[in-house]
Amino acid sequence: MTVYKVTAATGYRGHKQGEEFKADLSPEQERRAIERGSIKKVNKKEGNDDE
Amino acid sequence: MSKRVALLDSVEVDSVDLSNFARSVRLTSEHSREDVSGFSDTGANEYIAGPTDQSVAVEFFGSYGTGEVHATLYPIHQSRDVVPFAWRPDQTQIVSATNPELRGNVQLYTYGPGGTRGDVDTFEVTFNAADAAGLQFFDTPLP
Repeated sequence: MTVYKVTAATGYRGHKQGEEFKADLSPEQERRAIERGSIKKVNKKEGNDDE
Repeated sequence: MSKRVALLDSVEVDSVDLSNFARSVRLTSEHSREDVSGFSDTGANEYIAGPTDQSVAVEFFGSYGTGEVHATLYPIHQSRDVVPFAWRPDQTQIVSATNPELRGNVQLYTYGPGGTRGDVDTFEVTFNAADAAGLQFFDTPLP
C-alpha cells in the first residue's frame, strides 16, 4: 500500500484536500491523479512528501 | 425520497469530486428493440429487447484549475482511458435505497469545451458505459 496526500480542492476517492490515505492504485490511476494534481506520494519513512 | 429540487447532487469522475463544477446530469439507458415479428392472425408486430446502450450526459462549467474539469476530463479523453463515474442525488447523505448511486466505468469519446463572449462557460460531455457491467444504481456505499 502506498500513502498519498490529496493536493487538489476537488479531493480524491472521497478524501478531502490535505488528507492522507493508503491505497493500491493501478499505475494508470496513479499517473492520471498525480499529473492532474489531485494527489502526491508521501514518503512516510522520511516523514517528508515526495515532490 | 420525495419530490426534490436538484441542488445537492454528487458527481465524481475518475474519483475526483466535480460536483461543484456540474449543473446537470442525465442518464440514458436504452435497450435496442428487435423486431421478431412473424406471420400471425392479427398482423401485430412482436419485439424483444436487444443489447443495452448506456451513457450519462453532464453539463460542466469550464474550469482550468488544478484537479478541476479540464485537468480531469481532457487526459481521459486523450488517452482513451476507462475511468469510474458516480452520481447520486444527495452528496450530504450516504448511499442508501433512498439515495442510490449510479456507478460504472465510462469512456469519453468526445470532448468539446469552448466559450462565448460574455457567457458563462459551460459545455456538455457524454460518458459512455465502457464494459459489460454497465452503469447501475447501487443502494450501498463502495466498500
